[in-house]
Amino acid sequence: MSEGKEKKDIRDVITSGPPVAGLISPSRENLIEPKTKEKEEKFDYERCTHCGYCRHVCKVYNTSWCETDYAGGRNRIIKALDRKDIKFDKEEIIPSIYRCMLCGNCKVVCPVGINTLEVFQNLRKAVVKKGAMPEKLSILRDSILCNNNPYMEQHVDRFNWCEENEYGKEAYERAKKELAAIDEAIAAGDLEARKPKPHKVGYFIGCTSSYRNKELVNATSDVLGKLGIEFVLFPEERCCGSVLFRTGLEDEAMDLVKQNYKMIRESGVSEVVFSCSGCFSTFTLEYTKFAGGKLGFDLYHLTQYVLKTVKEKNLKIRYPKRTKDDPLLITYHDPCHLGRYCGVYEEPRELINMIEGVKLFEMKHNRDMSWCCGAGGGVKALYGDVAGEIGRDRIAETRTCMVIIREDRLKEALETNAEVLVSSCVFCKNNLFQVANEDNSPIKVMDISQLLNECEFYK
Amino acid sequence: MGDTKGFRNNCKKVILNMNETIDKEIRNENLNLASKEVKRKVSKKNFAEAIKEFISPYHVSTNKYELESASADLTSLPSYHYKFKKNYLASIIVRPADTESLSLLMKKCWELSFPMTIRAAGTSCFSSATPSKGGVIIDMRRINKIINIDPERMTVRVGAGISWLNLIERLSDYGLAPKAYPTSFKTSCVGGFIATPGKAGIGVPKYGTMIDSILSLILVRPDGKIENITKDSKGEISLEDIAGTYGIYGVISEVELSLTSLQTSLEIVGYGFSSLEKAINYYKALMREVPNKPFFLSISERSFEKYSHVNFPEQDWLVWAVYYDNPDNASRSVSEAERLASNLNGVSVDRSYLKEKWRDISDAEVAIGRTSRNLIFQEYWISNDRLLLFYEYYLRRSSKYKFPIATYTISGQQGWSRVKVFGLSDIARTAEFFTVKAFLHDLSKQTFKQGDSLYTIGIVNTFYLLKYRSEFVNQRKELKNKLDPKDLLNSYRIVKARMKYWRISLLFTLAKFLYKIFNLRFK
Ligand SMILES: Cc1cc2nc3c(=O)[nH]c(=O)nc-3n(C[C@H](O)[C@H](O)[C@H](O)COP(=O)(O)OP(=O)(O)OC[C@H]3O[C@@H](n4cnc5c(N)ncnc54)[C@H](O)[C@@H]3O)c2cc1C
Ligand code: SF4
Ligand code: SF4
Repeated sequence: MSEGKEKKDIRDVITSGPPVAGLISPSRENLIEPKTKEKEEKFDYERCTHCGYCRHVCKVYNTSWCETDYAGGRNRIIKALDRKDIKFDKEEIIPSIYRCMLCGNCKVVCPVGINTLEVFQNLRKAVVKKGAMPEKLSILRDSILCNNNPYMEQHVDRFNWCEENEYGKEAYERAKKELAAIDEAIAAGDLEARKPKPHKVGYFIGCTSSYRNKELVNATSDVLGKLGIEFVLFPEERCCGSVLFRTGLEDEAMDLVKQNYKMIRESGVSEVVFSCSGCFSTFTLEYTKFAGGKLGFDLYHLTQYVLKTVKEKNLKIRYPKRTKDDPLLITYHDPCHLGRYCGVYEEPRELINMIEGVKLFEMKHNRDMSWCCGAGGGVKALYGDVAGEIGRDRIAETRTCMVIIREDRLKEALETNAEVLVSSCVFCKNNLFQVANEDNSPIKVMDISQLLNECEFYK
Repeated sequence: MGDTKGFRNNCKKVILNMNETIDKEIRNENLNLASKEVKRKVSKKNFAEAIKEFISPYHVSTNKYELESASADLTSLPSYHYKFKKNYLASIIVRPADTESLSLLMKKCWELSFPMTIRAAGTSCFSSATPSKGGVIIDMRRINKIINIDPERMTVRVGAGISWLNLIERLSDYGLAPKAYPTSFKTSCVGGFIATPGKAGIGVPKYGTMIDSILSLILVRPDGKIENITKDSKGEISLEDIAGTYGIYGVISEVELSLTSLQTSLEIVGYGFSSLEKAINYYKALMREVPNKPFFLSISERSFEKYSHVNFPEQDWLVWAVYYDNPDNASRSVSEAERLASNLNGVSVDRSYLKEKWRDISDAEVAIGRTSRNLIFQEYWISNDRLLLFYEYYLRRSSKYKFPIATYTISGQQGWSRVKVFGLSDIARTAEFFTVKAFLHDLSKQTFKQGDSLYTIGIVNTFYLLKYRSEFVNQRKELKNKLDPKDLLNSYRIVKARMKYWRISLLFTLAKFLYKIFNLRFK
């Protein structure tokens, strides 16, 4: 085999192994299945060799330098607790358990194949049962249980944004009307009325977009509307439970799962679209598990749904503010919940690459090796300072990436007018936007729904 | 057969008692230490506060979970070991950010006679980076800046706590790369490779050992004094004293390294052999007879490949080499390597298999952990001339046991190799665990008897040096006594052992005996 002959570029030669192997995830195809029986998965930490390979991908560790902050160090604590070598201390243990974004990067690189996400979520569940819970988390929990959202907002205000969005308003009213019609039909004896109707689309918004980032819900509704999709909202929508699942409050989340699941089933939709990657992953993983593996409706992240629609309708996409020869340079940040949790890496890229007037460049760490933005696993809510640092790093990397792009552009004697970091998760967008803003960064941060909303779809 | 459980328990008890005796001895010594500790306590109280004056409070920790985590490494030890090891838990972790704060910290420890343990990524195993007398863990990972890259001279100056991966990634932007680094490069640090042997790994066969690429370094001596040491330093301490001595003479805080440039061609060759002798001859020939030395060279047993891969070469031994060079040199090396292989009837190994092995080379030694609950291993430093002798002994011994065993070797420079032998077991199975250790102990004895040595020493293997390399130990002791008479820094490494050879030998003999009876009775 000659890498040198196959690929001339020096960077290509080195990326096939050391010296620069850290940017690629280890291949798994020819490795034997780890010796973990399914029922033992939550005890998988026992197999941790403490090799420390999960350190370099752990952004929390690389910010705090604390041995308990990466997977191997945390596994060590669980082992010591198991053996009763160390006592359980409600207060002291909290940082080592909760200072983890559950980004899943350690799972990707672990040579012995430990499902760290499973282990850490179980650990959180166990410590919560023993009464260890950060104070801020109990506030979040109470708000979700009382208000159906973690922001202490009134449940009745969830759809206030519709007032100012034409497509949203229509979707809300359509939903109300259809639900009433279903109720009527059932009352008249039509027991089939609740059955999913083919291609009936629902949009599950999520708490953050409903109350905090209305620009996302507006952009998503507009994009769906512009594509001619007659979608419905779910007037009874509640928090999906993601925060509770990630922070060890699974028991509390189950009521929400049951209610949301029932609500969607009763609405008769066959396809549900999400703009929030957190909600999307919770439905993909926890809701699917709850439903015994089959939900009875299909789940789509916005990027997947738009791509599917554009292909089905044979549409083209254009970013009208720029041209093919002078494209907007963008780089895409993979949200952990969409990428590592659900394996959606290519659809957003395919979609972006379809847009005329936009050019996509990859960051060094991308796809399953993408750095977390710093907002996951409750770290942003519980340890804002750490989240800020991590976010700053991600921006710095984007800048380096942009510098390389600029150099290439300079070589071609073309001019760069704008630089945008696009993500497809409201939490990533918020965290990165905040840091970019604070640091006066030249990079604009936006959600993919916003980018799509600035585009034209045409035949 | 009804008696099986009782018998197993008896075996376990005998071994536990044996171990208990050893622990007691260590505990007695700890009692002496403890009485001294009491005297220190008053000042210890203020210690954390005092150092927070020059080190950010966030990086001074007494959190018990953090202490637990940072006081351990990869070494698989059963739980009662950890209980006895509790005496070895650090009482505070400090993460200095630069040479100055490191020096102030060490001066304070020196003044108060606090034991100090240097910790980088903790991958060197054998308790190399874990405390032996409690005290302070000096975590080096924040001393990780790239101070200067000089592309003209092809040199770099870095904080010793930088991970190889971070350094490699940064240097690649300049078209540069380190000359030698361990396969644990994804997490291990520059300082850690200097303080451990640093004699085998990626780049070593081609460019030389770690010490060969050091131009100068800054050492903070146990008393906190800062010293600049270069290749030609004529002072009390030389580079040779520092390399491979597990930090007993001071903390390396900054290092200046000579570099190489990134190459334009990467070629991999690999051949399977059914004869051990031919495999070793090929391995040696690749080092001796091919004009351009490989960037990486390895020999592995079939079982090593089997315990981590679904599909793997059929032959008993796999020898493979990586040539990272300019295209002409690389292809010339490959032609020569192919010619040598055909002379020895080597069977060419599927290219995609080799490519994947190289891509994930850092995972190779760990991925066999997919097959077992725990990895138990020893590393031997064997002259290539005696490699066949060692392997033959290994094959004879390993055939006596039922637990999975595997071996994997990587090349060092100048005719030496690091042979790693794994016993895949579960530390919960006490009798088996000790038998695995006994098997590795037999190989260690053979190693010294045939004139070779162990690769990584740390705390766990020091008693072998005392038994078999007393002259070397005495030499090292002299300098240690001069620089650190109270044995505060990284104690119980190289010059003084925690365990006694005869006790360990007895324990392992007993373990083997029990295993034998156990096997005979219950086969
Ligand atoms: C999967 C795997 C692969 C490996 N591959 C190789 C290999 O190819 N070649 C090889 O030689 N080894 C190898 N090793 C062993 C180990 O990784 C190396 O010895 C590595 O260089 C240790 O670095 P570290 O940062 O982990 O040091 P640590 O383990 O933290 O420390 C090692 C020793 O050095 C001391 N020390 C650390 N930093 C300093 C400092 N700044 N100043 C003074 N003393 C210090 C510590 O106290 C300790 O005694 C491997 C280990 C693993 C787990
Ligand atoms: S990579 Fe896996 S085995 Fe290694 S320390 Fe992390 S969790 Fe443990
Ligand atoms: S999930 Fe992410 S943040 Fe948590 S330990 Fe793993 S790499 Fe670190």
